[in-house]
Formats: sequence, structure tokens, C-alpha cells
Amino acid sequence: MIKGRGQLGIELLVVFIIISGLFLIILNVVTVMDNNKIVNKAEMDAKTAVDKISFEINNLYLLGDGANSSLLLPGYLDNNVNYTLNVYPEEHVVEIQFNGKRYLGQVITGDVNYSSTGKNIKLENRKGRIYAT
Amino acid sequence: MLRKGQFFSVDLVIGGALFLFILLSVYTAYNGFSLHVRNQELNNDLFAIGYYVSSSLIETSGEPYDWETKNYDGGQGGEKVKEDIFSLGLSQNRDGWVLDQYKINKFVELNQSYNDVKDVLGVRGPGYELFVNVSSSGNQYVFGIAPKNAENIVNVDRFGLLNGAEAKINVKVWQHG
Repeated sequence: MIKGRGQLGIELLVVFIIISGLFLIILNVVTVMDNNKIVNKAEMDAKTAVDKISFEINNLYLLGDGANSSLLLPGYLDNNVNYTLNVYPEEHVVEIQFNGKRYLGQVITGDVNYSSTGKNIKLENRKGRIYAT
Repeated sequence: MLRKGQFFSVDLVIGGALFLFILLSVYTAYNGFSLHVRNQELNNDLFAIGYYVSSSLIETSGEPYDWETKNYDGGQGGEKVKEDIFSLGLSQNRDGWVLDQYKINKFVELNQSYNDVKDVLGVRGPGYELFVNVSSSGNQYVFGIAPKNAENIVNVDRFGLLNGAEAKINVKVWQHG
């Protein structure tokens, strides 16, 4: 009887350890997946923002003189991640920087005058030059 | 002996194996889904680039409008492609769709500055390459690198007029495999 009870206790312990181990593995996998999702969501937001402005610059350039529009970019990326936008006309590039990372969007015109500091951007094509204020 | 057998029971092994199998299945499915989304995003990116390249070439005359008259030799007495061309267009005027033979000839000539032209047309990305083929009246005008070992290719076909005849402009944006 003493032997039998001892075996039951050890079996319970072993099962408990195995289940705990599996639980920890699942927790680890789920946490990694979730972290990836959060990182990807911020990156997706960054890509969306930079695509939005680069596509708008391209569209206004193609529409020609006098075309104008305005853009409202998000104040922050997902999870309150702050970001900055830069335009490098000579490189035909719009850059977004966030969390030490950067993403580039491309534009088909190098004649861009970007002076906007806010997230509400007004764009205008004046004789082929795109002004962003 | 029977009591020892209960220690690592068959039930526990089967249960554990089943559990791990389900866990691995979910993990594999998640990774597969992520890969599919990434590929879709890449294709969208290539298509947007191809569309804007074709629009720039067909619908605009470029900036400056007389860019084809300059001599581009990397700054050795002449002009530099990236600094002196704001945008590239093959059209005779701002209305577009009527292509200019001189601009096309110069565009083909600029193959020697392929990377700079690629930048001016906004083709940027890891391993992204550009190929443009203008065909009209049996003539072919080719710019760029034709796809080889390509992992992803996006084709954009547009039409215009060249010397009064129909011209087909095929733009391929592709990524190295």
C-alpha cells in the first residue's frame, strides 16, 4: 500500500511537470507570435503612411499644374510609436523613421518642396513642382 | 509491474503527442499565412512601382521637358542624370500618350546610367530591377535589364502613339530570386 501511494504521488508530479513544461512552451510561442504581430503592425502603419504620401506626390505630379490635395497622417503608429517623415527629392525618396527603423517610399519626381512639420499635409502642383506644406 | 506501467502511461504519451502535433500545426499555419501576406505586399509594391513608371513615361514629357537634348556623361562637362533630371517622360507634351522619338532614343542611350535612371523613375527596393520595351511599327526600343532568375515579376502594358502609329509600352518590374 505504501509503495502504491508513493507511485501515485510521483506520477502526479511527473504529469504536472510535463503539463507545466508544455504550458511554458505554448506561452513562449504565443508571446513571440504576439510580439511579431505588434512589430509588424507598427511597420504596416509606417508603410501605409509613407505609401500614402509618396503615392499622393506621384498622383499630383501626373495630374499636372494646379492639382492639389490634403493628407491627414496618423499622429502615432500602432502602440503609440512616434515617427518622423523626411523627403529627399534628389534621391526620389520619402523616408519614415520609427523605433530606430526606417522605411522608404519612392516618388517619380525629384522636384518636391517639402516643408511640412505636422501630420496634416497640404500638397499642390505648381508648374510641375510639388509643394508639401 | 503494473503499477510501474502507470508511470509513463500510453495515454499520456498519446495525449502529449497529439497536443504537440496541434501546436506545431498552428505554428506552421501562422508562418504560412505570414509568408503569403508578405508575398502579396511585395507584389502590390512592385505593381505600384510599375504603374507609376509607365504613367511617368507615357503621360509626361519629363522635367526639364527638354531633358533629351542634354549630354549626360556623369558631370564630365555634361549633365548628371540624378541631379539634372527631375523626372523622366517620353511624351511630346504634358497631355501625354504621343511619344517623342528623340526622347525614346535618349532613354535607350541612358542604359549606360541604368542605376541612376532607375532611381529617377522611383524603382527602389531590395533587388528590384526594371525593364522597359517600347514597340511600334516593327521597331523595338529596350531599356533596362530583362528578367532572369526572377522571383517576382510585375508586367504593365500601356499604349500610345509614336510617329502616328500605335506603340505598346511594356514595363516589367522584377525582383532577383
